[in-house]
Amino acid sequence: MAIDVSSAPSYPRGTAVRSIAQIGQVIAPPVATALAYLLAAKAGAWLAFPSAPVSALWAPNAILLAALLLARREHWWIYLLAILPFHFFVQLPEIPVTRVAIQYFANCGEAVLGAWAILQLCPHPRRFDRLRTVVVLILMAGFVAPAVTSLAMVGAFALSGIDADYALTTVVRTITNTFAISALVPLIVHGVDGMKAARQQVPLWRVLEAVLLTIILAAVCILVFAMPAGGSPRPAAWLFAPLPLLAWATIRFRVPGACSAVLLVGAISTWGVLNGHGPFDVANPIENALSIVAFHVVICVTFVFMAALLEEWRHASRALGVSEGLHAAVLGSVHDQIAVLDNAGTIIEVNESWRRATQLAHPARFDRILAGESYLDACARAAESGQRAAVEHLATLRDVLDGRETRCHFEYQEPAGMEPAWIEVTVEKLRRTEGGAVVTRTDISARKRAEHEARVRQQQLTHLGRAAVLGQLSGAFAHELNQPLTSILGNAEAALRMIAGGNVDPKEITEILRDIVHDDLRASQVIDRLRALLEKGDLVRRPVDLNATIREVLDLAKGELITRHVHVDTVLDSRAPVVMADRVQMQQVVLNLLMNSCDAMSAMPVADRRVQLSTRFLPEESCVEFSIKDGGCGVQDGELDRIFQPFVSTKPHGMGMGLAICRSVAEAHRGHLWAESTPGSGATFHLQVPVGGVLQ
Amino acid sequence: MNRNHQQPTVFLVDDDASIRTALKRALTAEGFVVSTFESADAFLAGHDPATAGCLVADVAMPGMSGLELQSVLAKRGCGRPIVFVTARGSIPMSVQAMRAGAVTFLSKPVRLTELVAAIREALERDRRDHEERALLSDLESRLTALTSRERQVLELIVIGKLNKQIAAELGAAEKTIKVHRGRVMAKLHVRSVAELVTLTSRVAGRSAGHPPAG
Repeated sequence: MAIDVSSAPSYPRGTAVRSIAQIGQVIAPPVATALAYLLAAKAGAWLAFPSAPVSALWAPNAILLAALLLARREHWWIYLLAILPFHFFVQLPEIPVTRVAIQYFANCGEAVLGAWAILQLCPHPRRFDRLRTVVVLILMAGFVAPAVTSLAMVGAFALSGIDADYALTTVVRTITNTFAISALVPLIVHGVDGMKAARQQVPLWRVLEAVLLTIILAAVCILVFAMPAGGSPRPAAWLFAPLPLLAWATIRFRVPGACSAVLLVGAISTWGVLNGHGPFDVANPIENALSIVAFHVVICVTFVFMAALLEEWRHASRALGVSEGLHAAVLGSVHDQIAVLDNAGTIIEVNESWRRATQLAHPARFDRILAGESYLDACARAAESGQRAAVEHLATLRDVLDGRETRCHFEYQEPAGMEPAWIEVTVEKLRRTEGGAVVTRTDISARKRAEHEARVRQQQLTHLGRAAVLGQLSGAFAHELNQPLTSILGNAEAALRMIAGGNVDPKEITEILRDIVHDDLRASQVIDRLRALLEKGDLVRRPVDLNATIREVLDLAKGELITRHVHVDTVLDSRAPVVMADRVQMQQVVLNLLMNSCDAMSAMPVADRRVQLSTRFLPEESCVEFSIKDGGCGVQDGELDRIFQPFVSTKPHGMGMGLAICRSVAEAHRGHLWAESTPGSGATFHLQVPVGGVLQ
Repeated sequence: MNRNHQQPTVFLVDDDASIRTALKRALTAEGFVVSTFESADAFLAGHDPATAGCLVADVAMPGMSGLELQSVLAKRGCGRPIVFVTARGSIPMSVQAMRAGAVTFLSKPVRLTELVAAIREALERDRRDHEERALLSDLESRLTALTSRERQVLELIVIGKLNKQIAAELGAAEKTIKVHRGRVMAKLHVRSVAELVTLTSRVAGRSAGHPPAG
């Protein structure tokens, strides 16, 4: 049986258990912090100089600060409250209550101020392997916060009438805290975060190294700071003995290593001084204390800084490694051939595709060069020898390298005699201070071939469409051709008859022969027009007079129009200039639209079968508009655009290609073809062709 | 009527001027009298159906087509024979034309001999039609000259009754019937009963509305 836990009623008992656990989770860290605070205070008291109000290592404030950094801000008050009893417990018997209370507030203020500064100023407040965090830690939490709270504390002492050496107290409290905070806070925060992250097993050799380093460092420190000198004082150079070991710890064990090592040195050196040994036991206890604390601060700041710097460097070099790997992977995976050029035009780097293409390229190719060679020089040499592609290469490269352009591209065909190929070259400015460029070569032969094939297909389709329309009109063409043939035959037989009858009038025979010539020319004109329409030729862009085109089409379709009883009106704008177009394709469009209009009217009474063909010059749009208006059945609103799609036909036996082809012809001339219609009262088709039309 | 003294006319209707010129030349050279028109309407305007002649018409013409012209003529009761000449003929079109009584349906370009033969046939038909029409109107006028008694006698003669039978049927003397019979023969200008039967059957066929024999 499944129970939906989330919807099950919650019992008071369960709630209580849960809330106790929650309270435990909230309470445990502050309690632990308070205990640590207590121990640290005890240790601080133990490390205090007997005759001076100075402890060599006052850690409680640093522990509180670290705890605040690890805690949520709204729980800070719990921590501050938690340490209160312990603070008093440690100090009370010997020290007056007022003083202990003032110290309590000073310590809390210092920790809160330091933690707040770090949280405010650092994007990664818990990462002390960042230079920014470490600087804020040392300056704000380690120096400014203790200094400010120390001044406030001695001010409170003065107000409360507590007698003390105010200046000394301020200085000593500040610098001991500087050391403790700088060394302990990173250690605690990284330690706790490390434990939480449940890192993988630390390798044994690393543990051994840490143990070995600790032993050596401890031994050296004992030797330097805690062994009796035995008569003559040791040379000052002994002080430097721990430094290489500190460096070792810093380099190998990073920020926690540096902190731990510094703390160890601090502990042993303090113990030495307290026992009257080492280089710092030179004068009165106060001076001894100050000088050893100053020494601690110096080594602490130095090595924690160094550790953070090393981390930053490691981080940067890791990022660099990643970016280099990325760069190599991207270049390698691209099929295009890529070369990176410096600002002098020399190739710095090429990708695998470029290398391969260069190996396979024809030896005569000028751009058959690799890294280290000058692309610019190769182009210049080839340009001098008259290679057209190289001239273009050179100009483009110079434009980009000299900063006139940021991105250029051009296409060229591989020189004759080689395998025909189309290459697209892109030159892009390299966005860096030293300048340079990236040259990308792409083999676009496949695309060019596809484009060519599409063009050929389109032409074939256009031709087929034309042939189909002409097929519909074959009867009309027979009519157009038979008319002159009838005249010729009639005239010829008349002449024969006259000659046979002996009734030969040379004047009449001449007239007959002249008529025969005229009719023969008329017949051949029909054939010429038909042949032109049926030819498969490429697009030929020539000045075309649309008015003349319309008249020719009407001539050609005359028989058909008569048979279908369609009456044609023309309103041709004599101002219309010529358009640059393919004459045959223009005829095709006019003929196709005319036949469509005739079809649309086939069910109308004979008297209503009227078509108006008109032209209009539109100077603002710089185009000539041809319109054909019929009185047919019209086109439904929703169909107006659909009828131009292939295989869409409103006729019972239509293929649905006519208008699609007409529109593609219009588009190839950068023109427009569209329809308007009021259903029931006919349709009007408009074709606009730009005057300076450019064919695609 | 002066028709018999005049040469018949070939009425040529075609929208193509070159064709009109060429065919007129050729037909004139063949000895025909040719009159040309550029459209059906031009032909119909002021056309005298009594004029002897035939029509040579194009089918596909702007305005009224050749076939439409044929039906207009038929409606007007003008049975002028028509030879169609077309540059773009189709079988249904020719069937329609022939059904409506066209002489023939020729394709352009047409050989002169074919055209001439068709025109001759058309003119012949026109002549025969005319003769028949003349004969019939003559006959009808002769029939109207009969008295009602003579008409009754005639009706019985043509169904093969003898004088005696007729007399019995009409309640008259056989002699009287003989006299009537003689008058009918004289008025209708016939010499035998067989001739009389042929004549009357022609008039009957005509008034029953049979199309002219082709």
